[in-house]
Amino acid sequence: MRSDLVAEWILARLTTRIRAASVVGDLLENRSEKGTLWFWRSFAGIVLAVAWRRPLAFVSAFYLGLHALGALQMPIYGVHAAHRPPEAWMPVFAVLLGPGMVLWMAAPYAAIRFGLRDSFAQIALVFGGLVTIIIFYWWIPAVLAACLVLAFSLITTSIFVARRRRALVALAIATVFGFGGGLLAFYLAGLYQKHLYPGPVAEINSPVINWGVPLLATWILTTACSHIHRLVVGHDLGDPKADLQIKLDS
Amino acid sequence: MAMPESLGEFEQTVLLTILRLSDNAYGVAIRREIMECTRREPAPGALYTTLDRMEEKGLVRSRIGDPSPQRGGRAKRYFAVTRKGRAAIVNAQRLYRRLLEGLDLFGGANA
Repeated sequence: MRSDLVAEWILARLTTRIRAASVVGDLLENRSEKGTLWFWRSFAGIVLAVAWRRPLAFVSAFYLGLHALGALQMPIYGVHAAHRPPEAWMPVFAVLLGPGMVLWMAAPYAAIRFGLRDSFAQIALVFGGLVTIIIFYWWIPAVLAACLVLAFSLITTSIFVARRRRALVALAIATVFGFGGGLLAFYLAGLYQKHLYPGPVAEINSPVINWGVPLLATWILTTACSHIHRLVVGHDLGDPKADLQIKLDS
Repeated sequence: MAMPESLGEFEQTVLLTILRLSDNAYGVAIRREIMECTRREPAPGALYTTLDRMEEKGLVRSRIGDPSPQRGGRAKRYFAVTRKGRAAIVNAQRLYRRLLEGLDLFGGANA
């Protein structure tokens, strides 16, 4: 296989096909003058410049998601459970813990991948913050009311601005996918554990499960964020519509 | 009226280069023109990500030209500065000009 085809194929995984073809064409134009080594060195630099956000965003989502899970469980199990009957705090736990964790995975992922100016990232950060405040201080009526008013205001104002409305819808869909992905990861972990230890379900202590569940959940969420952001919010380097736009412009 | 987009130094360089090249502003030509004018060789990765970012911001737009055998049958991607991009570069250069007022940087001991 020709080296330029390989380079174009790799670059097309990271950006649009048209952009990949034009970049490789530019490199080929200079290769006769500057040599093959220059071609591959430049290509590596371009790949690095285009792709560095994705792995960093994934790792950040993974670790912040785990950290958020621990941090959000702490007030529920460590504080509320000690002072209040379960029926008082259990609904908060049931409704907010999962989405809170998903939001704290989606927010850093979107902030790194799409930038802090991105509406999706901004809304995810605000909702992640509100969910966290509610989980910590839900028993103070003024704080709870302020958070709910703020959340309601954000949703209402977002409805009237097209870009924010799309970001809100995208975040809602990504949160559902992320939450569902987490449940799917736990279900698969259960199947794997039953395969390993037939009989009664034992305590999960397999490294495959311990790392596999959060990794799979993160992968599902980040993939959902990436695709839904591209489809709903719009222009992105990997957006197939961007190719269409370029064709229309030309 | 909305404030023009603020630009980094390299973004200004790229925008001015596209304006200089007019209808022939594609990757190789932009890079060559920057090298000739600034005597600095921009990294290809930095150039293409800057062009993509500026296109996302609406400062430049791109169109695809015809394929050529020299490029393995691949088309050139030509860039043009949009009205928003022009406003941003004019604003940035105006700020520089204001800062230069009263200074004699191009004459005397600094020349």
